[in-house]
Amino acid sequence: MAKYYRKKSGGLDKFLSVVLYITAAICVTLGAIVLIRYIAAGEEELVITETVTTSALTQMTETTTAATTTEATTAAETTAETTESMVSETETAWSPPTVDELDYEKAFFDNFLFIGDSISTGLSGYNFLPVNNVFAKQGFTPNNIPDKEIDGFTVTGKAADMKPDTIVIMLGTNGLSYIDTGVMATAYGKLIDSLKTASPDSRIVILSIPPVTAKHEAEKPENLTVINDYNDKLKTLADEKDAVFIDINAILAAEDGYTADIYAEADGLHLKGEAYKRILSEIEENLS
Amino acid sequence: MKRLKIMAVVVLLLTVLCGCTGATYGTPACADVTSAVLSQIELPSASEKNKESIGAYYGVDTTKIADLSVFMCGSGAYPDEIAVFRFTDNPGSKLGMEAVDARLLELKETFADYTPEEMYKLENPVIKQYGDYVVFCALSDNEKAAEIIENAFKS
Repeated sequence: MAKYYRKKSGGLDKFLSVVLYITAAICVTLGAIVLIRYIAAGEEELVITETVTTSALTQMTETTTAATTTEATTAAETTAETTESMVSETETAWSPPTVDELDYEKAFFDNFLFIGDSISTGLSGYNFLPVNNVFAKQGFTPNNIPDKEIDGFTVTGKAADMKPDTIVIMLGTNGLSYIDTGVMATAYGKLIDSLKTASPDSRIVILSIPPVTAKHEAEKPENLTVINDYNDKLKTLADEKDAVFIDINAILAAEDGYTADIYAEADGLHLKGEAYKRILSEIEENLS
Repeated sequence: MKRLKIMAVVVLLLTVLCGCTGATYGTPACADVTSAVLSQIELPSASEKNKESIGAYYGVDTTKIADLSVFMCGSGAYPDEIAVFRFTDNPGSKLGMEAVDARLLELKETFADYTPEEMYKLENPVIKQYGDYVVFCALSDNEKAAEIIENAFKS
């Protein structure tokens, strides 16, 4: 290259030479990067395969050493079955959890409006009801819901717009940790009054709030004592406001009063899909 | 000699440019992508959304959705979510990215005060466009999810 530049050549020639070398360098670099990534991807797969093979061999060796001739034969069969099931597990695609067939009439709730907090979001979250029939969100309480909006509607605005046959309310779980149950019940009563103004012909239904699990009670503020106290107040409120009271707490609780395992979400406060099926069938039964 | 050099430069430049044009991706079924992720990372109480109900959660033009697979936490307890959309055209996927950004904001607003301990799932979610596909994933292990998703779209 030095020898080349000693020659007195034209400016264009020099320029083209420089460009040529730079372009060639870029191509070589890019090619090297692609090659390295290709090799790295291949090595990664090889390591995973070797790890699986090694652990499988280790398991087989331990099983054979510990067994008698008869047991060794049985163990070998068991290992073969285990290997087969591992393969089939790997090949089986994931599928979401399903809820058994509904035991209530879905159309029964066509003109219902459910009002609530995060627990009520499960009604549409699990696809039991359309989103339009559920005015609910994480954090709602009887005290703050009048100031909240969903899709441009306040709770009374939603009721006025929809004019549902029945308004079902399940509120209070969120407030248990920081609002006095009496204060919540008072706010609840005001909410009912405003809903009656917004949609005078709607039947009002008050649901008791669900229990929690023992584990949740041990770790968080919500406990059965305060839940039961609040639900007693809701029952009284229903009488005062000429509303229907449905005790869904009782149908979700196990014998000890805590949420039955079949209904409890992992956090011990929210509910699994089966719970909503139970709640809706209980509501239909009470209102039919 | 000069002509030869010019031709060589042009050929090399064309080669480099061809290599640098837009990446190509695979075209997996959206359900295969979500299945690949959810078979390795849990989404608690997973509940699937369809084209009819997706409008309540994402501001997308459903007429431009060619395929989708969306799962959310049905109980409302957790912000976990995965959504894979394939749109019919590029403008659709562009709007899809905007819808995903809006959805992330909504989830953050909902869960920030409700369950702050869950917010880590929303801090570095997977938000990516692969051609006509738009992917949103907010789970307990977003780094792993990103790898799985990247593999799912390898051509």
